[in-house]
Amino acid sequence: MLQRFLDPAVLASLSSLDLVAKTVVDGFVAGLHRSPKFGFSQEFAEYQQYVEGDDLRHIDWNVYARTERLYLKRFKGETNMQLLILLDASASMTYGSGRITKLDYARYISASLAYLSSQQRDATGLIVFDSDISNYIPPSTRQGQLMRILHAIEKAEGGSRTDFSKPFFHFQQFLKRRGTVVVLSDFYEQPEQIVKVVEPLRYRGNEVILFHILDQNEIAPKFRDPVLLQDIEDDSAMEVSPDYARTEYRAKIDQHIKTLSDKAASSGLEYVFMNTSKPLDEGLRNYLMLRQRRR
Amino acid sequence: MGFLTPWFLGGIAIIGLPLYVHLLRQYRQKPVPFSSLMFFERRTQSSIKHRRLKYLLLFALRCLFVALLALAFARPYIHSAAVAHANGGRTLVFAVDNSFSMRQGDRFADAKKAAMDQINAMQNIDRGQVISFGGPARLLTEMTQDRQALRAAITALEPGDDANAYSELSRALRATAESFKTNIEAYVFTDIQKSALPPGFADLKLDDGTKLEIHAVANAPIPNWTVENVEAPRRVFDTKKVRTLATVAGFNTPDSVRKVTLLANGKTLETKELKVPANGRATVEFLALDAPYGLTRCEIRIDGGDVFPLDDHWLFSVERADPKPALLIHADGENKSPLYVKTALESSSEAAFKLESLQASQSANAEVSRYAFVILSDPGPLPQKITDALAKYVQNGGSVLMTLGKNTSPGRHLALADLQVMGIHTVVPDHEPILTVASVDTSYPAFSLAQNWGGVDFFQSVKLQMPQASPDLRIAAKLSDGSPLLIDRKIGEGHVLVFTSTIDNIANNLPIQPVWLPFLDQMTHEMGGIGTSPGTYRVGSFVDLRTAKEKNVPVEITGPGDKRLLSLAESSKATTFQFPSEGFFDIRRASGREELAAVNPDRRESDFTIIPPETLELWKNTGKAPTSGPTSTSVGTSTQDDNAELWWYVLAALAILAVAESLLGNRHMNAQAAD
Repeated sequence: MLQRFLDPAVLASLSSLDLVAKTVVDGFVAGLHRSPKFGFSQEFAEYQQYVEGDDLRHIDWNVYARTERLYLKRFKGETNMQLLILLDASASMTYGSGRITKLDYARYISASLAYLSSQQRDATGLIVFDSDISNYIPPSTRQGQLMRILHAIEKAEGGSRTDFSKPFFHFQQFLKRRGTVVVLSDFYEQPEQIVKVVEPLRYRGNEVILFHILDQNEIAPKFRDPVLLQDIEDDSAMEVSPDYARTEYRAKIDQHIKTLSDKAASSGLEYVFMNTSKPLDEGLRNYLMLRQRRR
Repeated sequence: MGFLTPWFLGGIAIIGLPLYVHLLRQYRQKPVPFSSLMFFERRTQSSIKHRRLKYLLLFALRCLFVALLALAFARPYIHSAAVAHANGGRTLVFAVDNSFSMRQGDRFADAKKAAMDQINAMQNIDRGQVISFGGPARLLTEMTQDRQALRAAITALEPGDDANAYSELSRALRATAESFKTNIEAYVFTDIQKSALPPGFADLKLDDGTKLEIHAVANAPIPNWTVENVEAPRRVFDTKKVRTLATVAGFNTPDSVRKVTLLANGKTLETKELKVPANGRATVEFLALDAPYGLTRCEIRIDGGDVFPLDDHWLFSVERADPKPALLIHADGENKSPLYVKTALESSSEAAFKLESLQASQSANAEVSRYAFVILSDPGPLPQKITDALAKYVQNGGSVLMTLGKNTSPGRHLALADLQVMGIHTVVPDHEPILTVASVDTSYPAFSLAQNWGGVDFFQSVKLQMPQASPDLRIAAKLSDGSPLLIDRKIGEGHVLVFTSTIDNIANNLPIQPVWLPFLDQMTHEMGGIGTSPGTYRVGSFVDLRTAKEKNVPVEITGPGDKRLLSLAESSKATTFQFPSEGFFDIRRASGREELAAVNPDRRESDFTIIPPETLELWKNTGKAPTSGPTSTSVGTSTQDDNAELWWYVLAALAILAVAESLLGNRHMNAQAAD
């Protein structure tokens, strides 16, 4: 199972990039950037006088023995980034014209990101959702977290239809700390609605990255004959002519991608378009390059 | 064009297969799952295009392939006549009259010679057919270009004894023209007898485009005397009471006196002179026929003295036998009914039965099985022994006539006929009309000659409770009050006839009325099994050989010259036989009974009056509106010997189609794979 996600080729491709350069503010990889905030590292920063309500565990009892005053020992810790992966497991994600489905593709990316994050000792969490949240693993750096996440990713199966509003509402309740939120979905919703739902995360100081995953046949469908298409999510059917699929549909899907990209950019959301027919590392590399440019 | 095995054309229905593959299956396509239809719109044009027949050319090729495959199996052919017509040849029919009249002089030889000359004048591209029409028209050859075959058919043609009918010829020509769907030229070789014309001229109508050319082998009527008919009893029981009537006719003849001779088994019995008026007929009567016991070949012969002696005699047969015994059982003390019945039977021309009468009380030991029939003349209650014997007699095929009168008590059940007596109705003359016969079934044998029942009054009749109608029950006559007078009930193999009045001249006056004799004569003939089947037949007529119950029982027919005319298979299966020629025919039926059938030619053939030229011209004109030629060719009766079969060409086309279909189908498959 693990081998499925931890593809050495993928990891080798990612390791060649300078991940440190991509986490300027909050740091994407733990241990490479100093944080302006205090943490749990071993480098001493300062003493702070104890006031009622402070955590007793941080009191430096040696100072108290010498001075009989209570001081808290503060360290300059490395930043602990929190990465939360939101994996869309709606029915539409199970579509795939080739060997792998969009959901498979999203699983690979999610696993790769989780692995990267665990390597950097970042707290990593996972939310699997369709029309509701079907699985939630809170962000953590505990031992075995990676395995739990990978297991949850593995278990993610196509559910019902996509509904962003409900899971995102719940997700905001889980999000206690600022961090990076990665949303992997095919985003079959109006761009305005998507941005409207996701945008509040950005207001809280989170870095939000939208991975828009589509199949090649969704981007440029090729039908030789008139075909009866059936919506995977609601089972509605429709006769589609090849001419329409070649012309009007492509214009509409292109417009949808562009609008979503524009709306995301205008709302401060990162947007990465991924084609399941393209190599996996290429999509991640694009993402990291994008992060690099932002810095 | 036709098909040798047309039922294979049903295979064209397999065209449904490519139709399904190309058209119908398009509509039954499986839905293709897709992630979202968010960016699709329902368009009408989609449906229209959906219905568009794809791969039209491939579809057409496959349909054509299936159709041609079925066509090849159906073995199409083009009839040679159509081929000949396409080559500019003519379709000729040579019709030769071989009727009885053609035996006169050299008529038949002349006709054959003329036909042969006409065949010799045929061109190589012409097609011809020989038919004969002495009687029913017969096709002697196929429509062929083989003149040798046509000449052989003419050479083998022999004159027959049947009668010619030009309506038969016209029908055959119409059928030929219709079969070949082409104009035909008919050459008819005949003696143009006027008597062969049908009653209605419309029956001579030819198809439009049929050219009729008549080669007459007679040009003037010739005088001819003939024995036109002979009436003689078929069975003789008393040779001194036999009456033979012979009719001699003269056609185109002057007044003359002819000698008429009666012969039995070649022995002259009696000769009389008969004055025959000019162009008329006369009858001579012979009052004795001294024939030996058994079947006798009789003949009436005249001294014709004309040019056609073949019709100067008439053959007939008689069978001499002793009168059969019949039994009448009457009530004790009642002697009138035996008297009336006995007198009537003795006065019959044939005197076929000898009546014995018994009183009811003395009838117990009567051996009924030896009687031809039994009459129960209102005997009242009978001894149980005779009742049982009569029941068995009827079951085994015997016939009993029951008359009912004052001795038939109301409420009594007539066990023999299984009928219930309701009562006796006696007419009171001052208060109600006397009963008469209201209706008789003239198809019933007893009433075939006894149809005039005027003057017969019934004063008393017995009313019966009639059972449900059934095929075994027949009411042959009814009285004026609607009640049945004569009931025929089939029981077992025999019949019980119930006469609801008496025959003693008390309950009615029937025994003293003129209708009594023919009525009793016919009824006793039927009851006694003598019947009225003819002993004399015409050439070409049919005789029934067996009943439905006599399957697989051999029947033998020996014709003139002691030739057996039925093969072994025919003798056990043939149900009828057509007399082919003049002469005596011995028939041994399935029951073992022997009959002697005398067969004579139709005497219309003896009238040599010819058809007026204007009538012949009218006949020719019925087919003179030429059509534009053959529209199509089809043959109903011909075999494939003379036809050009097309299956080879169809197979060649199939091979080409198969290659084309493979190439085109391969192209489409490659294109599909590329997509």
